Amino acid sequence: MRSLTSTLDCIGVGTGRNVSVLRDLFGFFRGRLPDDPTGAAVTVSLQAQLRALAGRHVHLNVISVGLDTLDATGQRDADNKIDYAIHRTRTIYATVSLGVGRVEHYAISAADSAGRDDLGSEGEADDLSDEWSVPNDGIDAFVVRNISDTDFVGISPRPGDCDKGDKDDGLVAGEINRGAEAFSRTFAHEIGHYLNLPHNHGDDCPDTTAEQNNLMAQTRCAISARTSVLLTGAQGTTMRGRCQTRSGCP
Amino acid sequence: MSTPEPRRPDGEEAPDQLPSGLDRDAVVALLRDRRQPEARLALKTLSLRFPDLAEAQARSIVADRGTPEALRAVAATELGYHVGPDNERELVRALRDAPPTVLKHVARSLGRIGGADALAALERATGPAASSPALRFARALIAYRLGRDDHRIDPREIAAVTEPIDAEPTPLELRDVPESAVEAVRDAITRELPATPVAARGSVRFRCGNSLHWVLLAQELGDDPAQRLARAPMVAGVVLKFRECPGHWSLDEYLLTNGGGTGVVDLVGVRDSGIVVHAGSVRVDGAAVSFELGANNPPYSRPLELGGVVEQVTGSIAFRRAVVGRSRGALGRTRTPQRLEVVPD
Repeated sequence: MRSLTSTLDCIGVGTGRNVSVLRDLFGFFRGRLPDDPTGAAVTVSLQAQLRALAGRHVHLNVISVGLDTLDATGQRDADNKIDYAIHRTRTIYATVSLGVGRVEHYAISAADSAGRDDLGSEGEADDLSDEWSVPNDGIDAFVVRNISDTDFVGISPRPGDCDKGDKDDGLVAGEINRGAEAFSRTFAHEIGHYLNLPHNHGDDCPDTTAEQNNLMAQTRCAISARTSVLLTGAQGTTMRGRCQTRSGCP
Repeated sequence: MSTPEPRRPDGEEAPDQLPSGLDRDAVVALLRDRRQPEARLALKTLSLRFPDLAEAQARSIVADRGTPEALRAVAATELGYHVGPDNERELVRALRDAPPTVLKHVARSLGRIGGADALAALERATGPAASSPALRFARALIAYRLGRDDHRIDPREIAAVTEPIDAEPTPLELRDVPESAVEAVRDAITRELPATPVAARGSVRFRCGNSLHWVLLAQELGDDPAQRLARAPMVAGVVLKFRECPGHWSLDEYLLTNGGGTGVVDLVGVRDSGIVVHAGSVRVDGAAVSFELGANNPPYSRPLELGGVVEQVTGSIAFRRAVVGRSRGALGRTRTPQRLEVVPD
């Protein structure tokens, strides 16, 4: 297994400075473990993360939109929800041998967002991802302050484009004012679409418990935001095969 | 000034989602205390499962000035899915006193469902918000629906940024959409376009990027599209996009024509945020209608060249040329968000 330094170099995290394992390797914005909404202890494993990055993995750019308008408590809650969503996504994707590698954090202020911090339509979600992009090999995942449209809780193309600057090169991973568990499931679900996973059902919700507990069941069909996060081997194969996934750091 | 949202005691989580087994009365009951976060979830749940009830609840919430802004914004957005004089009246009232965070949604919904009264109210609006993109486009959209020519969108808005097509453009594969396919999702289309009836016949589909699109013509074009297109501005059609998640058809662009007396009229493709993404023209020659679309607005759209006719007998769109290129300007016009560095806790 590679050393921590060589793995950080491999995923594009500069090591010519003091690095934080929790921030730079695990991608937690606050540089510490997120709080679990149930109060359960959150644990991470350095060895497991290094092993995950030896296999296929994705890099993420988490772009918060308009969260500067939240008060100090709201911003702390938001930071924790985002870190928890990163932790949950890593845990969920690990079940199909897909790692979450470099996570960079970006912000668009409410003033700069031209009102896109509160999405009122799916078209406005397109505006947001068209207008903003991070020029690197990470998936651009926007987290907005609010979604006022009743028709969606997150939105993603399937699949996302391989190149930045194309039509479908970003996704809206959710609105920050949902509960941490639901937000984190939507976050992982939308990135799943970006990695070419369809819903696992049609207009009607699936019949079986196993299907309802799949990550790609729509929110309205999922039994639980916490436990309906399963992925099948075939879904993992699809995700690992997408152009956004990086080769392992041997 | 915006009203702060009520906060729950420290450590108490907002609910994640309502149990799927809740019946309608139980969901409505959660709306009684509008200051609780469950109320916003309840309205979204009503919209999804009991849209008729959602409409009445949304109207009541928009009328309630004491409602938290986030809930009122959801309610205002919901009303934009339901045409009705009561909804229009309530949105017009909200136009006068809604805070900026709600006003955008009020204006958008008025644009979607409003008529002459709504347009008059939008024209009377004063203050900085009156010139906001949301209000400007709401005025324009209603004016196009009413056939008025005083809020025309100028296709030259994107003339300075439009890109020439590549040396090797990709043909856009266009196919007819069976009427039955349109009718099968008619409810969803009507929700998305509550005041803009579109015809099932004569539609075409294409794939742009990774998404499937339909072009649908306005019912109002009727059996004599040439006469209608030449007479006055109108919403001549729409482009719908299938969104894999959430899993339905929704608006991609309105196709607006600036008719009014000449043989060649402007054609603009506009998103519901008011951003002009495509521009071209429609030529009306007797009963014959031809069109071309060649201007694009990066990063919202790729360079393209579309040209064709609207068949007189069938009312169908027949393309003579349909190619799309890669945008060289998109990345140059895309902004990079600010990188956040370590924030000590």
